Amino acid sequence: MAKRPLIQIDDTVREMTKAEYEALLETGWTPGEETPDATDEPA
Amino acid sequence: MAYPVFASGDVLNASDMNAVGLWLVKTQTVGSGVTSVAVSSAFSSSYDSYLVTYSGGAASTNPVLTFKLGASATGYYNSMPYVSYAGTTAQAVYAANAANFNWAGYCGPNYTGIHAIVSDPFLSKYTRISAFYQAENEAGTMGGIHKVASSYTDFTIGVSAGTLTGGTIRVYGLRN
Repeated sequence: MAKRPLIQIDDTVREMTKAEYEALLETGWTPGEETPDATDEPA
Repeated sequence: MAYPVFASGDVLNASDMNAVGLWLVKTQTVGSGVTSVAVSSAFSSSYDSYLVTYSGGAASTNPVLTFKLGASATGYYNSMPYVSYAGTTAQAVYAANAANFNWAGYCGPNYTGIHAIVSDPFLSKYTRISAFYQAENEAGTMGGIHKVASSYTDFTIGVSAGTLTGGTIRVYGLRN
């Protein structure tokens, strides 16, 4: 199972909880692999 | 003393120090590969308005930077006209009752950028934000209001995609 993304609270960095990860996905967040020619429209 | 030019050994008079308009109140170094950074104890009764900056870091892709007050995840209204560096027609984005301010800044593999004025976050009033948006292909100026009359000491910077690594978030209080 893939690890969930990291979040930082002040100086502490930790893996997201399942609930935090689900909330992040609801915002429309994507892993966003780097693409050199990515457009950056602020949609 | 010829304020605001100080010489070595000058006495720091209260009247001079109390006239300093911008005071660094919080510095937060950003870790590696994080999707958000929560900054605590940034806002207080000492200042009504703040300058928040984030520079020197990098992103894994080209996301917008979001800004959220405390744990509040509703009531954010913001919009932004923007223009492409290659075009002359202005465009706009907008969001009503969003879960955070959507366009507080921008970042990419070669920079992270937030330059935002945040007004009245500690007061139990609506907080407002004005921020510059400097993407790689366009730029704009966003404005927004958080229609929740509560007091906040903390904020969180997030990304719409990918992760952030490094750089420094700084919070300056603007003297009342």
